[in-house]
Amino acid sequence: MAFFLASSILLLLALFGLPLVAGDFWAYQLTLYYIYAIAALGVGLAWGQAGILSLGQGLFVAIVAYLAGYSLIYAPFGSAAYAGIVLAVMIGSVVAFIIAILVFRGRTESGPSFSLLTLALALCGYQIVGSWSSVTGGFNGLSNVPALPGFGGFLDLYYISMSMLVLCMSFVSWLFRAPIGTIWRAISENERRLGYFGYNTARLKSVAFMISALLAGIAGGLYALQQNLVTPDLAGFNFSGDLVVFAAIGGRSTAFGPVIGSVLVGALSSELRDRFPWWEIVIGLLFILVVLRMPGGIVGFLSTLLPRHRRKAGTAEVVKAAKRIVAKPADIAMNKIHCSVGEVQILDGLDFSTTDEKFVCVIGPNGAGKTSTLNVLTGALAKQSGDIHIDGILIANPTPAAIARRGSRSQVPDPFPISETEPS
Amino acid sequence: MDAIVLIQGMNILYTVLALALVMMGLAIVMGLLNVLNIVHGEFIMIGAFTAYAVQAAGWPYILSVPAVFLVCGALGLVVERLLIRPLRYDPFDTLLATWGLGLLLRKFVEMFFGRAFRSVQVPLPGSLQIAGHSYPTYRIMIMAISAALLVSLVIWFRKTRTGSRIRAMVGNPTLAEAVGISTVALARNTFVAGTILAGFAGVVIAPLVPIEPQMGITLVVNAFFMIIIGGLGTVVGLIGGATMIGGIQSAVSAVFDPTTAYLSILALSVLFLWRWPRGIFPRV
Repeated sequence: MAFFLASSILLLLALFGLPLVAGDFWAYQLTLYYIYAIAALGVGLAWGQAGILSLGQGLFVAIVAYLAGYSLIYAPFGSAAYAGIVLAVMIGSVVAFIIAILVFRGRTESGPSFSLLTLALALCGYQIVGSWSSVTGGFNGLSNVPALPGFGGFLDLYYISMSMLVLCMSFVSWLFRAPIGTIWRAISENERRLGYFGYNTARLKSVAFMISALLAGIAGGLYALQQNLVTPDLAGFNFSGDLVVFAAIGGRSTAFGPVIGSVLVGALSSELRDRFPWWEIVIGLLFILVVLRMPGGIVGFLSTLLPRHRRKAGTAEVVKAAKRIVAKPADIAMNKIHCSVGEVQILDGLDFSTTDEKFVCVIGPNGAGKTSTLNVLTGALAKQSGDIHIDGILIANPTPAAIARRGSRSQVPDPFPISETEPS
Repeated sequence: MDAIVLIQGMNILYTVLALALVMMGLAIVMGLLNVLNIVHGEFIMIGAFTAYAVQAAGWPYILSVPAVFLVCGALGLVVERLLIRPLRYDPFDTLLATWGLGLLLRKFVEMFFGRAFRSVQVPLPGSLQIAGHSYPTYRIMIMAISAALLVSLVIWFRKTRTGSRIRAMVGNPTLAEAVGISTVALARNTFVAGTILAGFAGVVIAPLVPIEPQMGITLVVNAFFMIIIGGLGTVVGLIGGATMIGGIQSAVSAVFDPTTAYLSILALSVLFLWRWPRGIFPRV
C-alpha cells in the first residue's frame, strides 16, 4: 500500500511537472493524447469488462464535441458555458444508452453484430455531419470554438485534461473492483447464465456502454476546447479504429492499459510516423500479437512479469441478485405453446403442467422437444404463442431474468462443450 | 425517354454486378467460414496495385490476372495459417486480427507506392452500341465477368464434389471430418479462394477507380453491410444483398444525390443489424 501511494504521488508529480520540463509543443501534444486516452478508457471498459466492442466509439466523441462546440459558440460566458458542456456529455450518454438497450433487449448474443452496428452508426454520423454544412460547417468542421471562460492557455488545458484523465481512471478502476465490474465480466463470460441468475443482462450491458460513451463524451468536450475546432473525422472510421487499437495494445482489462496505449502508441506514432515509415507496421504487428497471444496488452504482459502486481481477480463480493429464492415447489402451467425455429416446428400446441409438489421427470426420445420445452420455460427460446403461468401468475414476457426471478432456473450451462472448440 | 430508361437500367445492372463482384470473396469467407474478414478490402487494394505494377512494368493488362492469383493466393495461405487458423475461425477474433492486418497492409503498400493516387489504363476503351445507344465496353465486360462468376459459383457450390464437401463442413464440421473430409484443408482452400477472388475483383475494377492504399476501407465496409442485409452464406443472399444495395444506391443517387444514397444504405444496415442480424435470406 505504501508503495502504491508513493508511486501514485510520484506519477502525479511527474504529470504536473512534465509540461514545464518538456516544453510547449509536448504539453499541447500530450493534452491531445490524454483526451484520446479518456475515450480509449471507455472503449476498454465496455470491451474488457462487458465484452462489448464498439467500432464506432468516435460517434459519441463527435456528438458531444459538436454539441459542446455549439454551446460554447452561442453561450461562451460564465456558468452557461460549463452547463452547456455538461449537458452535451449527458446527451451523448443517454443516446448511447438508448441505442444499446434497443439492440440488447431480447438478444443474448453479443457477437460482432453490435460492433458492426456501432460502425454503421458512426459512418452515418460522419456523412450527416459532413454533408449538412449549413449547420455543422461540413467537412471543414465547426471552427473558432471559444475557450472556457477563465481557462485560456494550453497549459491550463493540459492541467484540466490531466485532472479529468486521473479522475476518469480512478472512476474506472473503482468500477473494475465494484460488484458491477464482477457482474460485467461474468456477463462477458456467459451471458445466458447470468440471465438465469436473475440479472437483467441487457440493462447491465447498456449501462456499461453508456459509461463508455460518457467517457467518450468527456473526451469530446475537452477536444472541442483544446482544438477550437470540431471536424467530422471524429466520427470517421480511422479515429474509432485508433481508439480500439489504443485500448487493445495498452491492455483492455485494466484502467492503465488504454491510457498507456494512447500516450505511448498515439503520441509516439504522431512523432515517429514521418521519420520511420515502418513504425506503424510495428503497431499493426503489435495489435495482431495482442489479438493472437496477449489479450491483456502491454499492461497485462507487464503484470505477468511482476507477480506482486497481479490483481486478485474476482474477489469483489457479488451484490445480492434477485431476491433470494427459497426452494419451494412452483406450480408451472404451459398452455398451447407453439415454438418454431426457422421452418422447423418444435413445439406444436404443448400443454404441460406440474402441481402438488411432485418431482417431475420428462422422458422422451431424441428430438421430442424435452430441452426445447425447458428452454421455452426458462425463456432461453422464444415461443410464438401460448402462455406460461408460474404459481398462477402469467409470465408475460419470458426472458431468462424475468423467469429466474419467479423461481425457475435452468442449470444446464452447456451440455456439449466440444461443439465450441470445433472450427465451423 | 426510352434512352434514359435503358441507360439507367444498364447503370443499375452495372452497379449491382460490380458490387457482387467486389463482395463475392467476402461472401464466401464470411458466409461459409464465419470469418469476418475485414482485410478483404486490402486484398482488393492489393489486387488493384498488382494491376498497376503490371502496367508500370510495361506488361499487358491481362498478365495481372495470373499475377494476382500468385500474390493474393500466397497472401491468403499465409494469413490463414498465421491468423485465421490459430483463432479457430472465430468471428469476433478474426474481425480484430484482420482489422490489425488491414492496418499493416495499408502501411506496407504505402511504403512501396506512397499515398498518391494511381490509375490503370482501361484495357478495353471505347463503347458498344446497345439498341442504338452507346455504352462503355469495359463496363459491359465487368458485367459479363461478374455474371459468369456468379453463375459458376452457384454451379460450383451446388453441383461439384468440392461444393458438397463445403456444404457438409458448414453444416456439421465434426461429422464431415468423420466421413473423411479434411476440414482443415478444405477451410484453408475456401479461405484462399476468397482472397483470390478479392484480388481478382481488385484487378477488374482497377481501371475504373483511383488506386491508393486507403481504397479498401470503404469497399469492405459497404460489402459487409451488403452481406448482412442479404444474409450470410447463401448465393441468393449475395445476389439479394447486391441487388438491394446496388438498386437503392443507383435509384436514390439518380433522384437525390450520392450522399443521400449512401446514408440510406447505412440506415438500412443499422436497421438490419438491429432487427434482423441474419439478413433477408439466412442459411437455414
